Amino acid sequence: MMKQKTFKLIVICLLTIYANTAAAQQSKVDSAIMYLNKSFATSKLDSASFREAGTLLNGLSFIDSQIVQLESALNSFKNWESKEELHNVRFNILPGLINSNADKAISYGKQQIEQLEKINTPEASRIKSKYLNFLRFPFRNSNRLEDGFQYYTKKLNDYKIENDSMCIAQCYFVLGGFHRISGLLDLAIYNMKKSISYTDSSKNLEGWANNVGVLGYYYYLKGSPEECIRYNRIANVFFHKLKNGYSIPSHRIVQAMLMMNELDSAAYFITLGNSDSSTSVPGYKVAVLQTEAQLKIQSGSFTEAESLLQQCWELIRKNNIRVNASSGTIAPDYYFAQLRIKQGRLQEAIDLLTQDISRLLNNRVEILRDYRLIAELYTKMGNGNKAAEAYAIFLAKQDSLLTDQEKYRSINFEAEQQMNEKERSIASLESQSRIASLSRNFLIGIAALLLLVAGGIYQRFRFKKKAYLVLEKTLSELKSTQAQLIQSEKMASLGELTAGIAHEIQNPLNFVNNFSEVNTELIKEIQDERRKTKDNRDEELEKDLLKDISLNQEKINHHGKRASDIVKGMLQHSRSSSGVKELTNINALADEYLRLAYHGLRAKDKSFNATMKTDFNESIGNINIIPQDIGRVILNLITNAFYAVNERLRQSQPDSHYEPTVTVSTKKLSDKVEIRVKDNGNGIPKKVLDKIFLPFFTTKPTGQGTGLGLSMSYEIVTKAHHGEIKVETKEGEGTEFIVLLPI
Amino acid sequence: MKILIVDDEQDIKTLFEQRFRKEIKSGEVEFVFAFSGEDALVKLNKWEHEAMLILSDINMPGMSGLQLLEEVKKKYSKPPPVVMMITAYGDAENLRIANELGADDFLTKPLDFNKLKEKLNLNNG
Repeated sequence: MMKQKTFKLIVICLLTIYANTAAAQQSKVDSAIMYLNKSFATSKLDSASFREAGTLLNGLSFIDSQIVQLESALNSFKNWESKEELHNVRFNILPGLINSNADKAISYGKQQIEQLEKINTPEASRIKSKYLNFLRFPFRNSNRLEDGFQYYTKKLNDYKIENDSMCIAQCYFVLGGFHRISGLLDLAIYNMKKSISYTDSSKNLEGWANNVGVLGYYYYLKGSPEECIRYNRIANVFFHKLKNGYSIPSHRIVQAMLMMNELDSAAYFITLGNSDSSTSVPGYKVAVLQTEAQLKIQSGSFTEAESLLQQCWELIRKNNIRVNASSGTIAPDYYFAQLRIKQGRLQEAIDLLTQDISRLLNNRVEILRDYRLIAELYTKMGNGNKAAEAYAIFLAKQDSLLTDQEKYRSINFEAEQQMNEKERSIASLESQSRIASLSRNFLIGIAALLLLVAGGIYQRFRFKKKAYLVLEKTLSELKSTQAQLIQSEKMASLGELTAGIAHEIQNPLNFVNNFSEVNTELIKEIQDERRKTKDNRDEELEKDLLKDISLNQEKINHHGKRASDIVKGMLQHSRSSSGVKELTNINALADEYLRLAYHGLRAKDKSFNATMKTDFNESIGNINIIPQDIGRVILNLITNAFYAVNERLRQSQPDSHYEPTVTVSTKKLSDKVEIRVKDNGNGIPKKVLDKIFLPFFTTKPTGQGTGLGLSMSYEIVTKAHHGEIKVETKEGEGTEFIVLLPI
Repeated sequence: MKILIVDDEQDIKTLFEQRFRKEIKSGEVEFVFAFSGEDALVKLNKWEHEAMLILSDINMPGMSGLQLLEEVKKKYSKPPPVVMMITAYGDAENLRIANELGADDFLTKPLDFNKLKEKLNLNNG
């Protein structure tokens, strides 16, 4: 076998032979493939070679044929045990793809994320969040920002279901950035705060501090430099602790100081930021240079500013730095224009701003800033027509931004924190309808104006109308989706019930058949007896037989009723709720659903078994409730309880003497009735306890739970019955749900 | 003959007593009823030394009929009681398991009492 050193030497030779860049790229890819092949050559992974491959691949720009080569090299090790390490190498391809082809990078990243989702380990989750982080660049540096919104919103929902907080935080982070670019700063701030709340600073201090700093940056863009300074000072404290990475927070503080025209403090923070080693990263360096140039312009050192901005452009060209880098918006032409204005070279400034706009792509806030400045400059130069033109564009763009901002105005992180999730979904529906009615009123006003003003205003009207229609459509779609979901949850639980019903209905029907057959026999016996002569007749026997017939008749009636109650219950369950309260025996209802739930589970899983205990307070009497709705609540709680004990049984040792037990009890309190459903399962972990009543939250494996059971129960108990639903749980001991219904 | 009927439905007692009224009267057969698997084991212990036939349902809360069967076949070796299992119609899975656990015979629901009498070698007349 070739020795490591010799091998390395050959690679280095290969690398030096090719001087021109394209060939050097190819040779790097070739070498990486050689290393890859070497690392998988024996049964044990040669991790040194493996890492070497990763290092070689990092940051290259690939052409298509090279991607194919790498893919095939990696694919031949598909079955390699250490899948996560393989993914780490695969990840190194992404930055190169981002440099060369945004679309390819996006589809590659999505594909890798999908693969990683199949591996359920913390390490896979970590690599996944790295992909999520990097994938934001191709989305926002191309015209695919809308796609990006959709993709990350969907991913966010997926990870919420899986409770993967690292990836949740990452999605919020990326969405925050997307909103920032779209100029929706309130939303950007909201998302960033969400991201911070999901980031565990004890495990990921760097990520946490970074998010806090970015949050400050959004406040800066919103025109609150004090907030920006506050947050970035916090970030700086932590980055100092890490002894690295404080250049960016420092540079944001500088930007804020410049906004307040505090030049001395700004200069101090520039020096501080530059002492950080991360300034050597080109993407960071350009951001710092840009801001430093701004300081020089504001303090009148034009020559220095000029040279700093030129350095900036050199770095951008050399390293192919896009407009939306991780350190913020990189577009030095705006600063160049500022410089030219100070120098009185207005036409040059306008040209620079026009260039700047074409670089800015999606960044609405900065584009607005530039158009406004162009309009001002033309006015200064006395070119009224051009000024009006630029101003018209500015107004149109501002209008569209304001419309979007209005749409999301109701979202406020702090207020939302205090609201419970349930109320939030309703609040958002309400606010949408409020916006709809607002824009309706606005429409009427605009329509009146239309008679007086023509042309441009007509355009405006059309825009508002369109926005209104879109909103109304969204609202009605949301309503119908909600109704469909409720119906499908009912159907799903009906499916679960069918097996239970079949079993439950079979037994009473057997009794009906059997007792009626017995009665026929008994009647025949009486008739036989009566045919005998008077002396031979056994009057006592006849009496006994008659007594039995009458008893059996009662049994037939009882079991017939039992069967019909089950059918009635089933029909009530599948029908849309009538919402009518009626006097109901809560004990009978609880008992009925306990049996249904039990047999439903038994029908699905033959080995399932549990002890059922009931403790019904008979003095409750009938209470006024919507029986099918409360029945559904009880069924849900009991089904969950059975699921919990069954889970624990599955995990327990065969000799552990664990006895799965579900207890249902009722109790009369002074002005309430209390229903308790208790299990001795594993209990609910603390970290999910506050989520259990959220729609779509489930801990069951995919396809086994809709995640709507408890949220519907919550709605039924609190909204329709003005009651309460509470949970008491202890990990490893069990859970008890308590439903309180007012009498 | 002593027969232990195991079923969680209480009315099964009335039903059997009426279906077998003549046989009970003549002393051909004696029924003992248990309403759960656990209850059945207690009763079996009580009459350990008597020959007994067990007729058990499968679907019961707590100890199931299959667990009872397993327990009985493990515990009582000389002579092991005859165990007949009552299975739901078309329930091949339970039938297979009961067979593996050593069930002696099967009856399907709904119970055909004439067939049961035949199996018990009782006089139908």
